Amino acid sequence: MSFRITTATGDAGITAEAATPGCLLADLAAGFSALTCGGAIEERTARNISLKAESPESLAVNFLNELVFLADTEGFIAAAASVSASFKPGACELTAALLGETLAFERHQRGLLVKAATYHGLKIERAGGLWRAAIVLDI
Amino acid sequence: MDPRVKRLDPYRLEIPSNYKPGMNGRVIVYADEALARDIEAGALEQAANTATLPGLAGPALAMPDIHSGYGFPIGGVAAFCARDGVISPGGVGYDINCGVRLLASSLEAKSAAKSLEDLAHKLYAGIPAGVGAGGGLRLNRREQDAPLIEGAAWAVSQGLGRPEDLAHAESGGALPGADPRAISNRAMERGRGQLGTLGSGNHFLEVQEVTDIYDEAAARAYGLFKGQLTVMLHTGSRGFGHQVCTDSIEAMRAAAGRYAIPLADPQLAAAPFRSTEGQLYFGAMQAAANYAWANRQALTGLTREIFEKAFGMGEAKLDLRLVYDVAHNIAKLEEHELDGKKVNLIVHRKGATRAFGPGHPDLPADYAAVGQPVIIPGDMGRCSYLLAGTARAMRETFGSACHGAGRLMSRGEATRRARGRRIADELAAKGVWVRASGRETLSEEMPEAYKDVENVVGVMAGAGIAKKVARLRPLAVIKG
Repeated sequence: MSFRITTATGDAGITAEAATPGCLLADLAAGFSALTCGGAIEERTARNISLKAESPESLAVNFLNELVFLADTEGFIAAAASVSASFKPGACELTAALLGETLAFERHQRGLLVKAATYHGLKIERAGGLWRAAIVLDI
Repeated sequence: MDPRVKRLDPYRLEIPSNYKPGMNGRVIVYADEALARDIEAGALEQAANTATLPGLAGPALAMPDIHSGYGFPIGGVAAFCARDGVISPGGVGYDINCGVRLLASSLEAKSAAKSLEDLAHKLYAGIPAGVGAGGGLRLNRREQDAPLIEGAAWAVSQGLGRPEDLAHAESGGALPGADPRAISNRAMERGRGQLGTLGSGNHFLEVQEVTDIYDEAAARAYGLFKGQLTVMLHTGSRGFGHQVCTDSIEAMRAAAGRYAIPLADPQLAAAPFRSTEGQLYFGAMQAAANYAWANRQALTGLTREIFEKAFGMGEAKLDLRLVYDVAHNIAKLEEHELDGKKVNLIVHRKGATRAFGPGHPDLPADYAAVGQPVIIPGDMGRCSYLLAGTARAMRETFGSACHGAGRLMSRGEATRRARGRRIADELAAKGVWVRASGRETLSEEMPEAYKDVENVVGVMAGAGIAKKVARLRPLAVIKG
């Protein structure tokens, strides 16, 4: 797992790098969990996500916005994400199997409340045999 | 600063219309020498980008609390002709109708000093705030349309306010064009349990004292006196508005391509205001704006209840009265005078406050002579301000002013600088009780993370855009 939390002026972001598109998106999911509650989530329940998009950038934004939606409506945060993804131009897609639990503040820290994933400064690129992503989240 | 950015006078800079290709007008940046040094290059670039959108009317504007946002900078104002211009969700932001309201009590702060700690605890316990906070009003799907259409009036109808509150909210606390049919099921789901919640980040509820009065006539009209105990509340449309914006950005990115609108930044995605896509967003955005007004009104009801219990006083004696409520993330259809002609404009204010001058027909009768109250929160250690809109703002800024102090440091930098410090204790030593639920909230939101609001407000007053009415000092702060 390889992600890093970054900060913009009023907001936060995640950068990640991985060998495959699926691992890259799984790392972004791990970064989201770390931002929202500092981690320490257990694998208690499952959620599945399937998405299609025109570009890797839209796919990543839409995937994180799905995680925002689950967090906001159910309090669900993923402890582990197994993602299968293809970044084929014009026909990007993913299926993600998430294992996690509902936030319980007697056990979890209150982290940042993420409003949305944005296209601001968004980068998804392949270099040196690795996929790299940088995404900014509105806090 | 880029040498092409020219200083016009002590309070104004100009980014010329040839600063970058595709600009349809210039940008006026309100900043003195000191504030100009702190403006990020990226924020000026974003201000210039807003001027590339079609149908720009007059100059694009940047307020002295400008900092980088997405698409538009925070502190950005841009007006587009309603007839042939665009509307952009990036010019409103994710937290649609994020805004501030100010309540004034009948109490003197010094008489409440002994109760402040207890009041802070009661407010913290009674106001739902932070990540995953429950306790909001839970409506079923059938009930959800009413606050989207009625705004603050819906909360009043639920016993969470007084009818007279509505006259003291911008636009009466509701925009008439809200269209619940334009709202996705996902937005409805995110909004379901969040009415009556504060949120997180820079949102707050603050008990304050009026420390200085600068304009006696305006203060009298607003019902303020030196030493008075007041409450300031900062929040918006919560997950509901965030989802409306997320949905719209995707739709507008596609629309921008269809209408051949060049986008200097993907977050500037826009559609012609008169197009189907533009009208759908406008209807959804107004519904989200009304949700935010319902939310601030619901929190007002909760706050009044907590105050009455904490001070053991009835509603009439405590008289926690709404001074005003302003939106600072919104796009509104307004009539303005441009080159001697009255025109209908879509005025985008993103991190900017409406600041209508005296005599404007949209002002309540009791404020008509002095202008609209403009509420400018500072930070939790220093102060906030109440300003009044001016006639010059109507001529120069589409009746707009700044919205706060503006961030100086990123959240990460603030957290690093706060390491090893006890921010709550530091503030308590200054007489400010602070309670926050987030693990890093106090570090991220510490006073030094923000510009000094005195300087920001000083530029607005110096430029004649808004006049200072009162200064408010924090006494107790509740954050998510």
